[in-house]
Amino acid sequence: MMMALLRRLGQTVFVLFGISALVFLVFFATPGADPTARIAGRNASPQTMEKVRQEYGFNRPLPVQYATMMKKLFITQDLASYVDRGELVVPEIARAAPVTVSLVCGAAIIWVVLSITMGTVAAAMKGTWIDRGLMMLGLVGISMPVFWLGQVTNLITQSRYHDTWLFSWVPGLGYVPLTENPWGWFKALVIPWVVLAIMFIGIYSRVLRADLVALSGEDFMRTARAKGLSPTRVLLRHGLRTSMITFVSLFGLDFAQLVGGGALLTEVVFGLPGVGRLTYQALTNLDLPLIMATVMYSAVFVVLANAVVDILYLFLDPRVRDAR
Amino acid sequence: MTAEAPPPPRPGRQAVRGLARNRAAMTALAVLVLITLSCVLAPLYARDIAQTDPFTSNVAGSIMLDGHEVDIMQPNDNPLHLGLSPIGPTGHTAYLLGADSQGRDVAARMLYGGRNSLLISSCAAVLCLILAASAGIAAGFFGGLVDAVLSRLMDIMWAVPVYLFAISLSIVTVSQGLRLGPFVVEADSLLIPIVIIALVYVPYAARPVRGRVLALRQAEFVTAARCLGVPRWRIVLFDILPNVTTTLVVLGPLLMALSLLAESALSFLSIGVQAPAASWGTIIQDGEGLIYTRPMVAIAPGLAIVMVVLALNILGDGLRDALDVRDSSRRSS
Amino acid sequence: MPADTPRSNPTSSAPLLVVQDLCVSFPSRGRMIPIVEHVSFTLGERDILGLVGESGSGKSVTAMALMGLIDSPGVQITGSALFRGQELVGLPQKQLRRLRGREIAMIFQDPMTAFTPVYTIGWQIDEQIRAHERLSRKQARARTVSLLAEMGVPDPARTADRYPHQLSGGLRQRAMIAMALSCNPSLLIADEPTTALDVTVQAQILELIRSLRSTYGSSVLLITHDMGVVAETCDTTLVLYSGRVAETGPTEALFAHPGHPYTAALLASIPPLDGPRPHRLPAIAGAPPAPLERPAGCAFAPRCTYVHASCLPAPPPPLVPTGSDTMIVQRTVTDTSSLESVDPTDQTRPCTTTHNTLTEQSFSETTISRPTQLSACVLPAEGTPLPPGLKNTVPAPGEAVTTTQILSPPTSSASGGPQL
Repeated sequence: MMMALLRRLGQTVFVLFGISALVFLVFFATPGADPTARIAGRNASPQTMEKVRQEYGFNRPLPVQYATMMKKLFITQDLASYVDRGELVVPEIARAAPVTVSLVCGAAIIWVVLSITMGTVAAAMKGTWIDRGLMMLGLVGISMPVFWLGQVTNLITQSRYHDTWLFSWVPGLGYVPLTENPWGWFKALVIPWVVLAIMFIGIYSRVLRADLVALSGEDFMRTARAKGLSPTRVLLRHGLRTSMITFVSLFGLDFAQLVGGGALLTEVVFGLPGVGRLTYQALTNLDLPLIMATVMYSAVFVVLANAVVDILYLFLDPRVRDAR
Repeated sequence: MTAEAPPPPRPGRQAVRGLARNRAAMTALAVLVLITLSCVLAPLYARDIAQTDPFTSNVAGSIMLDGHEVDIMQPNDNPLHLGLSPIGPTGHTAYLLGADSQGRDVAARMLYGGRNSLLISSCAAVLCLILAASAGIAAGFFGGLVDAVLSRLMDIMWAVPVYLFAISLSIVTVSQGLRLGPFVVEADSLLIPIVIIALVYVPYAARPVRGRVLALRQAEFVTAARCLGVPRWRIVLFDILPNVTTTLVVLGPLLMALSLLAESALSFLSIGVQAPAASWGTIIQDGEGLIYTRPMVAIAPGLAIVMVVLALNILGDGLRDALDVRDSSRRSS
Repeated sequence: MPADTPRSNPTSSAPLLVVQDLCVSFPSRGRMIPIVEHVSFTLGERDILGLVGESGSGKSVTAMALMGLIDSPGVQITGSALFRGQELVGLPQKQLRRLRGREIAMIFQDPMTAFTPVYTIGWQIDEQIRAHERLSRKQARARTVSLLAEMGVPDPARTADRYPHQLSGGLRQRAMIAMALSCNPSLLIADEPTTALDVTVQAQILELIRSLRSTYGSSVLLITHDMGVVAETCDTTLVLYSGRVAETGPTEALFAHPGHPYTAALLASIPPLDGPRPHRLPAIAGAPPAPLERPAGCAFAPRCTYVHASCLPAPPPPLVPTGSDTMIVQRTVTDTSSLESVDPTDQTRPCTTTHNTLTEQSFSETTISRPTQLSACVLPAEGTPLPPGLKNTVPAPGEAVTTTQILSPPTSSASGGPQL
């Protein structure tokens, strides 16, 4: 057990290094223009250019540049945006993070509950029209671009049907902090939650159903039935419990990616000032340091979350516990 | 249990027959062919039916509807008639779905945009499959150091959220394009989104390929070939690759669906297809500002995306059912 | 658990399980594929019946059908299976569930995969006990531990807390048997319980199964493809070939005087332990037919050295009692009437009318084989009267079989069948 944890830790450190190197290379070593000009922003003065070159060490070898960059990102945290008049990047991300976390957590609860229900029901009713209908619904959910779905929901809830009893409670686009007004927080987020969750409900319910159906052919499921257990118990206690291993690892990855900025499109469409929207704003005014910082932080977050999922795995699957 | 050895995969005729019997998959295929065909015929539509140029701004223009001359930009419906809105869906051949904020015919732009969207997504899917197959086969077959390096690289790429990765790649290429020695890729080239999307999804496709190759490497026919002294490249080419094709064929439509969604997202963020060219994503972005007044501008291309992605997913499911030997032999006992 | 827990068992002499004409067919591409055809047998209290056959002969499907565990859509199960007088075929799932695990328990082939990997062994045995009896967790666990101990599991209390993957195959199979016995079932179906195990462990597990009838009073339906296992373990043997019963009878009689060429061929392919080694171990040429390509007549005909014109036409030949000289005389005393009523050598009698009466009447005591028209197929025992008009076609013992007497078999066995 201890060995497994240590090994996982080593792997994590390695991947962290790899990711930071990869992101660094993408931003500073892509063949093409001078990274100085990219960081300084459009139409920067020669003095600014020179200052940037000194600050990031672009006249020095790549490894030194990498070290400088990492120091500015994680140790001194004084990476500043040139486009946005020297705004410090790291605190900006820290301010945006709670919004993203609120959005993703709510969506995650919705998609986990609904996809488990849908997947299990579909697997139990395999071959019936309920099964086919649920899976088709899931497929439609997967096929909708989330930003488009967001726009259409906005159209319905903010404009066309906003005056009916159904959607009159919907507040205007934007975010209300949980600490200020919990009820307002909930009202502002409930529609983004659902919109963000829809695609994942589709993916997860289909994966879960496929997994459960595949499991139903397994020997241990037959044993469970031969024991005289009720079909519900066989499906839930034996099938679903075993499927949870796949489910959780999938969930960990997606959840981490969303918190790390994958919810960008939802945040943009619903005007939620989270990390994703920050990235989007940086994108529109080509604020390279900010984008790099968000990408780097999100990657680090994803890697750490994956490590947590793997440790969770050790508790979920007794086989893994001994294997390493 | 009647545990018969699974029959060797026969991807050819049997699979086609299986697919042909799948009504949902055939419908999906028909929808795809229909949409692709109409997008290919976009110039015809723009010139002969709608009679507009969907790439030039037409804010001051007007069209004839039922004998009346109607301005394309019309006063708003609000009591003060402040501001102008583009014309809504006309129900006529001209401006069938209305105009966008620059007075261009949305229907014609959608067909042209579909060309780009479909081209980018299909090319990205194919490129991604080629890259993933090479990486997966190399990692799975040679194992050892090659596998370790490639797998770690995949892990690393996998850890960056897909869209953020694509955004990072886009932002460094979108302003100045890409210069690799003598090769210059212009910033507005379609090649940029194609390569970016293909790269981003490589880990997604390489994993199943690697798994399949690992399983195949243990297979007895490969051991037999090795014992016979067949050179490695021949084993890869004639024993491994044909057996991996099933996996690749099943992944194809799903990758194209993912690529299409990624393309539209990048274009929506204005780092995909660059103006004046259109794609379904850019049209949705054009429609964002008009969503409350002229919702059709954003809804129509979105529906097109939903239809194509849905059809691709159904087709992928159908292919998997038709090709997957494991599923068909599971019903033993 | 004590063996003699009182059970509703009014007539101890009545057979525990009577299977009649059991047919199982699965739909595929619009056609029904018969996997098991007209299988009949009787299992008495504390009997061990061996169900032998190659892979695909329908052994497991028969067992699964009895348990009601086949739930593929569109599957057709006909015939009858009376368990203590209760019809199992067509019994609603709810009532079947009450029988499963409590009255009829099953042991599976591969103990590696037969336990749910995410729960401890003890949890899974407790689960079965608590599914059928009102017991607290503690009581259930106590019984689990004592069961494991009885099955020869060392340190049962700790083993119960281990996960399946942490145990060896033999231990897992012992745990599996403990689980099957946890509710003291009267019928235990063991589906190739030793196939996945080491040879030494195999012997221990077989010994354990043999001892069950005295310690637990259980009858066992043992499914296997290993003639050695049958010979060692079973009282009665039933040979399945391609979904049909080829031969059934007391194990000793069947091994001593195989009636059906298939049985004989199976026995001949076992290497002898003593005596001169054969130059070449006989093998049965060809492969069993796929269910859809099953011949209309005797399923074994294409591979049979003794095939005869009358083996080939439909319908498949019925089961007929064969006289294995002294054996049959001794054993069929009670059944003489039935034997007399149906002359096994009567060629003219239509197969279908004799079938049921024969199988019903003379099951447990007589060696029954499924030949074509009896004498053409059954290996004649010495002194068996040959049917009139067939004298020339049946080789006398020791007499060489010539091609003029026997139809040349189809291509699959043209290369030379087993020399029996």
